[in-house]
Parts: sequence; structure tokens; C-alpha cells
Amino acid sequence: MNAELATENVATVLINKLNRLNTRTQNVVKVASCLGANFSLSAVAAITDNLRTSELRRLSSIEQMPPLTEDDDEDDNTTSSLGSSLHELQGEGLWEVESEDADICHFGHDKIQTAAFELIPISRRDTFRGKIGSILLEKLDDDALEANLFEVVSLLNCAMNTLSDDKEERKKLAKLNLRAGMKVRYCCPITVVCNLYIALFSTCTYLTIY
Amino acid sequence: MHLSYDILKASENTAFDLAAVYFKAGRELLGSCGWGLDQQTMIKLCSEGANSSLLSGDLITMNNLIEEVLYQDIPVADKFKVSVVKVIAAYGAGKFNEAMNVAFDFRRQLGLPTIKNKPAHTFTIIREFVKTNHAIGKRTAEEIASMPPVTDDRIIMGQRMLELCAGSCYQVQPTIFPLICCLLARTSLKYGLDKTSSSAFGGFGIILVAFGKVQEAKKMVQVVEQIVAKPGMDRGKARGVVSCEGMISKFLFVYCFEYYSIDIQVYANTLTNNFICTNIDHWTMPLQGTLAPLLDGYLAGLKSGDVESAGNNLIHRVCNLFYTGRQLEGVEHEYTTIIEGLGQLNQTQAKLFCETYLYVVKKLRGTDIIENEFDMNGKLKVAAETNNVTLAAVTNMALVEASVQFQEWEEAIRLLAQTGDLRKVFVAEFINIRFTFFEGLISIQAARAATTRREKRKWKKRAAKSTKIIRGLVKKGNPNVVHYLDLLEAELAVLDGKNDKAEEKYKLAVTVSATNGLVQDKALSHELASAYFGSIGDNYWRDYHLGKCKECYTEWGATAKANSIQI
Repeated sequence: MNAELATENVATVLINKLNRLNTRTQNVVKVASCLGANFSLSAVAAITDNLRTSELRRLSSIEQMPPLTEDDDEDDNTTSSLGSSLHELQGEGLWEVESEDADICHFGHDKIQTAAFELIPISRRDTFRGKIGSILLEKLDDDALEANLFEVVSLLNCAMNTLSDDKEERKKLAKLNLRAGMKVRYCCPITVVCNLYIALFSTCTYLTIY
Repeated sequence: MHLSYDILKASENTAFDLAAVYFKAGRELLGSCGWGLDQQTMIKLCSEGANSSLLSGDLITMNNLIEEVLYQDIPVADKFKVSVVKVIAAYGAGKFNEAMNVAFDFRRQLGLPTIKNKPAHTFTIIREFVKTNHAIGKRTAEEIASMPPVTDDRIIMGQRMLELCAGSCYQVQPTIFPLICCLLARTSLKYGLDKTSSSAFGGFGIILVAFGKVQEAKKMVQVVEQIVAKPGMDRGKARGVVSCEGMISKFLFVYCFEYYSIDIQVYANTLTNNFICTNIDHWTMPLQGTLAPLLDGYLAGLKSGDVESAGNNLIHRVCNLFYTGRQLEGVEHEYTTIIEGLGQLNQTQAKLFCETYLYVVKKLRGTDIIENEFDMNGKLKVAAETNNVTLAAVTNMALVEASVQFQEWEEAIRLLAQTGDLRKVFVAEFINIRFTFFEGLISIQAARAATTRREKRKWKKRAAKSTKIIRGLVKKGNPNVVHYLDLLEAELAVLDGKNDKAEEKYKLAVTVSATNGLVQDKALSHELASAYFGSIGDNYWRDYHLGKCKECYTEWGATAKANSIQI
């Protein structure tokens, strides 16, 4: 399958395939595409539960997308409907559940994530990601927010240019950016220097042999 | 709940670049009115942004951010973090005087006593040394290490600035290095301990070594070790403050990595390793033993984000590594890796130093040197223009090393006359001893080549002085220099016509250097012994030693040198 997909038409093929999915499932996959190649089902559920129908409906406003069907009301955004969407996506081979943790999924291929993301109208992508970030910020407890700080801040930053002039909101996001910057600066592996250490360490094996 | 961060994984950026992106986004969100809207957040965003920009090599952004903060009408304490970045950046770029001036000026703004950026008189150095010794008094290492933590933020900031100055003054104003170490130590004794205390007492340990007080220096090592080992040294306060504030606190001296549970010891260990291994331990333990701790110190620097100390650990590892007789192929590979890494860390000066050693290694190995790859004259010119005595000294020392290894004595004599007394530059490092050893050997050769009695006497006197210094070190138990003394005494014996003593000492020099695994010094001993036997017409022993010399150089990996030996 990967070999077939690795053609220049892969995006078109995938978009067509995603377009054939149930609208509800399309919305789930769009949300997931904003979260990355690997994502948590509980995060997707939390977001779809909290996105208003009107917001989901706006996501389908591009011409090639079929309009939302009559059964796409708020009641559909439930865990059971997520379950059916998950089943549909797995059946189509679009994403897989991690064997170690049933809450974690990943797209079958990074092109699928790209295609799913492209289903979102360009004009609404930043706002949509900002909205997802806001929901996560609201729903995550302190520990979960700390664990997912980069994702949340990056999503919120996508909507930075559309942010209102609300000073408090801007201050809050500025502080979140400061916190994320501090975390990445002082906690994440420092690629360059760590690589250097590894290189040094490998060169030092001769010292022990000597 | 688990989310992935594919943006980070996919990015080619380093953590510094990514951090800079967040800090920039934060500033843009607050906009041009940010300083009026949320001054503290703006200070933190600019300060941390400047730091990340420095480390990612975006010096234009770094300078803009520094100036933005310095321009604000805010308390001097709020300008501390950017001032630190400014000092570190200037140091990394080799602008040592600028680094010192910024640091001293900041101390003045804090209302703290400071030191003038001009050569210190020997009397002043001795006075400061005596004052500090007096301040320590009869306190044991335990008593010093158990002092309470300093509580005055002004003192902590001032100490950090002094600590940062030490690196720069060591390069361009070495005579005030002792003054800085003494002031750091006395301030710690007066106000209590903080994160610079390990540098303070480690630095004073260096001065003690320079005054020949090795045992007292070891007491300082114990102090440093105990300070570092203290559970939660100022951690409670630091963590408490930082946790309350959420991010770095208004007390900008508190390094935010503590907030993220990176052990404070890691930071202190970096400095400790650096001081102990390069400046104190090599006086009493085999040089090889310093290599692993220096590598650990480097890693500790990386973990704590203190790239300056990480770089310093690397420099000293580079220096010590050369003299331990390791196989040169591996040494060249390591040097190349280190130089590349230092370039990435924007440690320009450290990179220049390491290049001088790589030059010698490549020359010995016969590795192709690309034209202008090691512009040693260019380095000396830069050093002269920037008054960088350390760069000049390291470059000259590399040239001396190459000349002696290749037995180019005329060039070595010329260089020795040109360099002057490098001991004043390398206060307590192993390269200091190496210089003394070479000074003795070169002086003996110069005495042999002298055309007048006066000249011969002058050089012989200098050789005797070098030998006396080395003998003193041997008496104090330095295991790294016993064969140096044997070789110098052998050469002096030849000069005095005492052939029996000379032969005995050559034999000892070969044996001791072999026992210590110092193959390059064994080779040198054989080569000088061969020259001696050649001079008295004993061709059998001449060829024997020359053959052994060639074997040793081959074993070391000095292919070019080995090939130059014709038996």
C-alpha cells in the first residue's frame, strides 16, 4: 500500500478516499490531523465533544465537500459515534491503534495526515487549530497541560493573527509562550550538543581500549 | 492524555531555535505596548529570547533583545539576565575587554565594589591573597561548606558577574584573575554560599596552587565538593520562589532549569570538574585521570545549559589529552569533533584554542593540512590586535611543541625568545609545566649552540631555573613530571660533561615515561639519548635509541615524525 501511495497522485487519491467517508468521520479525522501523526483518542473525543456543530459545519464549506447530512446534529458527537468513526477509519486502513496503549492512534501514513488536514478549508485552518488549542487549554488539567504544552501553545499560536485585542487573552497566551520556550530551552534534548557528546563518547572508546 | 509533538520531531531546529520561536511569539502577542502591558513577562521573554538567540547563533536578534531591555527604565536587577547574555556573547566572540567592562559596570550599578580593568601589581595580588587566606583562617572545609546560603540578591548577581569575568580576564588581563578569585571567595565567606561559591573556592584553589600551596588547594577542592554535595543548597528557596511565580521568578538570578528539576548539582559539577581536573588534580594525580571527569563536566554543562562551562571543560580536555600519549589518530578525530561542536555552540575562542592543538597533531601525523587551515601567524596577529595573551600563548606553545617534537631547535630557540614566560599566562594548568619542561630543553640546546660564554651562561641559568621548578614539583609528589626531571638532568649532565650521570638519567627518563604510558615522551627521551650517544661517537647506542624512538613515534601515530627519522 505504501508503495502505491508513494506516487505524485497520492494526495489526490487520499483526498478522494477521505471524501467518501461519513461526514462525521471526516470531522474526526480533521481534528486528529491537527494533533499530529500520533494522537490520543480521548483528546479527539474531548475536542469533538466541545466543538459546536456550527463550527464543525463551517469546516465542510468547501465546494468539493458534501454538505453535512441531516443526522449530523449535536447528538452525534458522542463517544459512541466516535467509536463508529474509529471503526470506519480502521476498516479503511487510514489509522491504527497502538498495541501498547488503546488510547493512542496514529495515521497509517504521514500523507494521510496531510490529506486529512487539507480537507479543512484554507481560510479556516488557523482558526480551527486555535479553537482546538483553546479547548485543550480549557479541558486539560495542570499535569496534562504541562505534558502537552508545546502542542497546545503551537495550536493556539496558529490563531495568533486572528486574536482579538483582548489584552488579558494576549497576556495569557504570551505567558504560555514564555512557559513553552522555557521548557523547550531547558528540558528538551539539545540536539546539536548532545550529538556532539555522542560523537565524543564514541571517539572515546579508544581510550578504554588503550 | 498523550499528544505527540510532531512539529518538534520533524523540525531540524535545535531546542534553542524552537525556544526562540516561542519567545518571539510571546513578544508579538504583547505587541509594541508590551512593556506597559506586562513588564515582567516582557523582561523574561526578551531575556530568555536573547539567551536562546545567542545559543542558536542569531546574534542580531540577540543584540536587539539585549538593547531593548537595557533601554528600558527598569531596576538594574531586571537587566541582569540580558547583561549576563551580553557578557557571555562578548566572551564567546573573543571581545574579552568588552565582556569585563560590561560585568564590572553591572557591579557598579549594583553598588558593589569592583576591580579596575588594568594590570594588577604583584603587591596587590599578594595583599588580596593574604586577606583571603586570613578570611578563611583556620576554618575547616566542613565549616566553610556548611555556611548558610546568601540571601542578598544583589550579592548573588554581583558574584555571577565576577564569575563570568574570570574567564575573560584570564585571557587579556591575567594579573587581575587572582583578584577576582580572591574577591569571589571573600564575598562567599562574608555573605554565605550560592551557586558561584564552587567557582569562588575552586578559583582560590588555583591561586593557592600558583603560590605553591598544593595541600591548601586540596582543602579548597574539599570545600567545593562538599558545597556541591550539600542536599538542596539554596534549592528550597529557588524552587519555592520559582514555583510560586510559575516561571522564572522576579529573582532573575535563579536559573529556570531548576524549575524543571534539573539538578543544581549538575550546574555546579560543571565548574567543579573544570577547576579540579585542570588546575589542581594534575598536580597530584596522573594526567590521564583528568580526562573522564572533564568529559563528564562537559556533559554536565550541556545538561544545565551552561555552554560556556561546557566549552571550558572541552578546552581543558583538549589540552590534557594531547599530553597523555593517546594514539594520535583518535586524538585527531576527537579534536575535529570538538572543534565542530564548539563552532555550533558559538564558542569561537575555544575553537581557536583547540585548532592550535589540532595543528600539532596533524603535523605529527602528516595529515594533509589544507592551505590556510591553520593560520598560526594569523592567530598571533589576532591575539596581538585584541590583546589576547592566552590565544597568543596557546598558539606559541603549539609552535614550540611542534618545533621540539621535530627537533627544530633553532626555530624553538627563536620561539622561546619571542614568547617570554608563558607560566604567567597558564597560571596553574598542565601546559604551564609542559612549557617549563620545554623551556629547560630549549635553553640547554641554546647553551650548546651559544657562541659566547656570556650567552651560554645565560641559557644555562634559564635551564637550571626550569629544572629547579620541575624538581620542586616532583618533590611535592606530581607523578606527571618525574621523567621531565630525569630528561632535563640528563641534558644538563651532558652540558657539564658528566656522561655517566647523563646515561643513567636518559635510561630513567625512558623507563619512567614508559611506565606512565607517555609514549611521546619516551620517544623524545630516546631521541635525545640517541643524539647524545652520537655526539660521543657511540654509534651502536645511537642507532639503538633512534630505532626505539622511531618505534615509539610510530606507536603514538606520529607517522610524519617517524618517517622523518633516518636510521
